[in-house]
Amino acid sequence: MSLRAYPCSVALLALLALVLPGTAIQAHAQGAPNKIPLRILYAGHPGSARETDFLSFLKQHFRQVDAGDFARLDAKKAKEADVVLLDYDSDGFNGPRATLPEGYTRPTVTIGVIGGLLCSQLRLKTGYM
Amino acid sequence: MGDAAQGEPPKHEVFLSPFKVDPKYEMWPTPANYRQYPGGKALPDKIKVWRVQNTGKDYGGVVAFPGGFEDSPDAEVLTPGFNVGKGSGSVGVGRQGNFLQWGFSAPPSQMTEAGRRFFLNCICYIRKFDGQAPLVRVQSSDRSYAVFLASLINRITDPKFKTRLFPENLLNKFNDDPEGLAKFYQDHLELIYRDRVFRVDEDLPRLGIKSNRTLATLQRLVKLLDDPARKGPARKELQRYTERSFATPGEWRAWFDKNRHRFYFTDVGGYKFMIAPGNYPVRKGSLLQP
Repeated sequence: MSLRAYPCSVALLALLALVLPGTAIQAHAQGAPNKIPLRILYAGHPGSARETDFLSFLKQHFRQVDAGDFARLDAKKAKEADVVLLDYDSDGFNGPRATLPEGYTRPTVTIGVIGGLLCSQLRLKTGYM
Repeated sequence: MGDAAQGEPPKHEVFLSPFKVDPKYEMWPTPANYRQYPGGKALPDKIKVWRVQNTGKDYGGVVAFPGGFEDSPDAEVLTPGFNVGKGSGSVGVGRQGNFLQWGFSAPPSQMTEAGRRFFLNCICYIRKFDGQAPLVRVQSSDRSYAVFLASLINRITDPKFKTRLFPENLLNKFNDDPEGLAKFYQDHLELIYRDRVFRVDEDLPRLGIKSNRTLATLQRLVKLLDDPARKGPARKELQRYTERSFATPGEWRAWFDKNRHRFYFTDVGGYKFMIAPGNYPVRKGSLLQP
């Protein structure tokens, strides 16, 4: 199929992706139908600049992004998400401690120091200490 | 950990899908702390790294100890992190079961293009491990850490800390000789286990066995249950290195035969032979080979 068969903007993006390194991720972000079909729960520090930063980025790339609170992880929201991100905007030692629901097996990305501390708390190899 | 991942990424889908990660390499001076850890003295003056974020700080993120990280099939190192606290090879981004730890500190606006792609790929990758809880929980440091700590014995001033790590007889023998103690553990690396302190198994060599962590060892111990002269020590070793207790040699044999392709040995998980569940997504090469 010729590129002419595509809508002009899509064809242009495809062409850019071929000739410009690093364009693919940008093109992906612009086309809403091409968003990654995952439901993300970002549980961080509500109202923080860090939360805004993460949510803005995640919403560019994933079909559904919800916000939550690291300190009070909502088990129902976590269960409904495909991937849970656990993060906080402190050095970790001064931040809150998260408690995961019993039998928790949701795919989870733990981030930074507070993520490492949570992993230590769970006695995982990914722990900080 | 600061801004960089260390070394070239392995050939792993997390660097390829859905976005190809294209690191821009730099050579950074080897951190002084790397020299203090095993193998550190042999490192070159500069280390190959690639920036994941741009905070300008050499701290703020975290790495996990690499020793024993991959001694169970539920765990994998995705990239080491360049750090000024632990040793070379410490885990900057790693996975165990359904948990993926991203040790970098910066939000996406401060990540590099390669860092953002890697981060997105990590989110997509961990999705595959829905329902796959970690198989082991940390019970101990791995055996290489015993060698490392032994080399520092003269720097440990708290006697209680020493006695939580090493048996009294070895402390008495090597108290002023950290190199001697480290060499003792290194020479007996295949026989180290942890029972409150780091011990060297003196019983296995008497049974003609040189390592406590091979499948051949487990098979041999089960077989020795049929030997009237050695069944007692063999049973003791099976109790030490497994979490099972069977009444008869036949039950031990049936257990071994049923699981012979699913065994792994984990120091971190308690110096035990364990079995990966049949439907568990094991990391390639992580199970003991016959």
